[in-house]
Amino acid sequence: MKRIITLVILALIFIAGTGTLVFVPVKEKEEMKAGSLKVVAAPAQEQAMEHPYFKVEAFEPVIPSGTNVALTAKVTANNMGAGFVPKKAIDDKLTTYYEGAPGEFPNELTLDLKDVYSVHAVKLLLCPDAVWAKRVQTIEILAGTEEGALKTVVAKADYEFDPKTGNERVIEFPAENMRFVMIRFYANTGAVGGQAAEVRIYAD
Amino acid sequence: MGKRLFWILTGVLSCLVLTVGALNIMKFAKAGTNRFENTKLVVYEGPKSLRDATPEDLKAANEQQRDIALLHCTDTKVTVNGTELYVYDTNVNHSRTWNSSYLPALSRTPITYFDFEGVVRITVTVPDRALDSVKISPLSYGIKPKIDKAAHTVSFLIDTPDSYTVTFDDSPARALHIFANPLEKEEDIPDPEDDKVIYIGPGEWDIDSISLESGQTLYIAGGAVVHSDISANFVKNVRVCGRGIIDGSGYKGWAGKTAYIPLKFDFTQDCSVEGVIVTNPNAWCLQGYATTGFRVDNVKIISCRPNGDGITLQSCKNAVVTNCFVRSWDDSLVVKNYADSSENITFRHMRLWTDLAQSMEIGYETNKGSRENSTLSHVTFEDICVLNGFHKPVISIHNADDALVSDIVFKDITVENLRTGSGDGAELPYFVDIAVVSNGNWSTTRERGQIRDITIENVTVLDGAQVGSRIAGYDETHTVSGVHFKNVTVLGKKIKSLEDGGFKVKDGTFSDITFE
Repeated sequence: MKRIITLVILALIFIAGTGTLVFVPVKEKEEMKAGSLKVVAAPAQEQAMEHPYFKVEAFEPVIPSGTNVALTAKVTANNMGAGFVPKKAIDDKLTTYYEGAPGEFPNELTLDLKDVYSVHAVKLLLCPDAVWAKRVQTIEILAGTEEGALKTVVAKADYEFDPKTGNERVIEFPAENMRFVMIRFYANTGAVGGQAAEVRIYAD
Repeated sequence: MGKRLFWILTGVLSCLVLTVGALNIMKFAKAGTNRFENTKLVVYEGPKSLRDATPEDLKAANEQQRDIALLHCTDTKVTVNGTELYVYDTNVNHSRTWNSSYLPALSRTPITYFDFEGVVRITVTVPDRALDSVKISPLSYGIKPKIDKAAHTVSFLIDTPDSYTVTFDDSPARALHIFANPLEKEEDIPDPEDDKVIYIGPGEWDIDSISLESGQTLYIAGGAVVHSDISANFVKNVRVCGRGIIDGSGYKGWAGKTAYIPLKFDFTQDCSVEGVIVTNPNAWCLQGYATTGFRVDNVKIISCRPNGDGITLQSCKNAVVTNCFVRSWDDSLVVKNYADSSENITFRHMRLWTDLAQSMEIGYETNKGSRENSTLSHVTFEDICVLNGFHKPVISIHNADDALVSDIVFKDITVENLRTGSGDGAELPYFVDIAVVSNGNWSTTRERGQIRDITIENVTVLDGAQVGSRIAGYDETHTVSGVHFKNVTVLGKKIKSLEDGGFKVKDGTFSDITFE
């Protein structure tokens, strides 16, 4: 009898313990400790702001004296990237451009002005949009009155193109008679080939 | 009762009593402990200039018919440990058919984010939802939320930073994306006074395109919304980081003309993108082109407009992409060759929701640049959860040029809902699609390519429609060889053969396909 009572008591303790385990809920506290919450506040504003770092001073483009005689030129290149045909360098649009074939420097863009002009400046332009990041192109300018006899009129040099300054460069030199003008690109830090959205050639 | 029997029974009952007693001690020891004892939490107010969304804003309409600006969500409230979060209302696209006018109807969905460590309780209140069912993805966490239908609330605990998605009533409509970030480490937050750092603080900003130079860090703080596109071109050691949002809703859809890519890294070395969110791009979202050493971590992307590829790596080498969330209206993750060959690319611990096109795609363009001996190799997709694959294959290789595509691994992948073949996805109604093809839209080379040594391992499809798969070379000399399926289970069925998997095959164009 005693044994049975012992077993019954043990069984009851087990049942009670199991019941407590299963049915009695325990609530853990859910409290944030002081200092463990950071709220990052938003500034007062009614519309989107301009960011001071990206504010760009107005840039006045440089326009050489004389007339741009490149618009009616015949333009060819020794190579080009797919779709970046030479004609795009004189279509009077800054959203299209010539680009040399990838990794095949020098890229040579040659303009036949169809007549002899006294030329004193060449202006090279890229698209002025900010997405066209600053880049340096290494360029030499050759020219002459006969296609097979071009000589250097501007020695090879680095030219920085920066959207903050219109993404353009004006290269001036002593006036010289020429019909053929070659822009020779040796390098471009911003693309795989030389680039020109517009080539403008100024003559008196 | 025999003595022996008595002592046996006593021994057994005593053991049981001791066990139950110990468990009760452990249980009640928790009483009085604080779940949030070790919790740290950072929440970000949203820009005060963002307009509140109205019912009109939530209507499905194209970008010419309604405002698609990023808005402040008003029909979904989210608190974390009792603190209310700012919830944004961004655009998504539920249509499963390409729209040739580039003007698909756009819907909206709420998103929110915060940073934490420890344990947090998230409570979502959605007065307009019936809450007959609630699913918290990734399902691998086994989160069983407490639902109070009368109060329209859903509550659950998390202790691991990740991107969580709450789906209500078994519908993708107005699913809530919660980006629970790890805390930013002090040493990782750049010094705003450093002249190599561009610091964009909380608030809404309109910034013309941002072009980064070598060595620069662009920090977009939590709470910031930046309307801009960010590029790094021919540079090295550039870092974009923070917690804020890069939003493209101010740009018209690209319609095949001008794409303003939110994050564009071309010809870069050792650059990284971490922690930021991308919403409403006008085309594709995060591009790496001819990069080496590109690292992307904890980036969250939601696209809705045509050609909204999530993360597209073109001719890259040694790229690692981890811990990202991509919801996209075009390929979620894609690797292609546009110039030189691609190699050593890893996508790890990703959460994908593919509204249109493929989830994990190699191709179609595998030699757009017409290079000699083009290869695309050693690409790994590992530890990936696909929440929804709504349109085209979830695992796919489409070699549409003459490249050799080889050593591709798809491993430890869970697909929670497989619905490929919907809409015009019916042209590719497959779970897995491995094919050498010629495609009028995407092929460049005259010759066709090869596919070799593909591993598909530990892949499970939990739910969805019963669809088959495809393995097809192009012809007898342009083939698929060496595709190894190990431990692949689709809707409860282990795939042990081509027949098991409902594979459509092209005879004479494949070999060495194994199942374990």
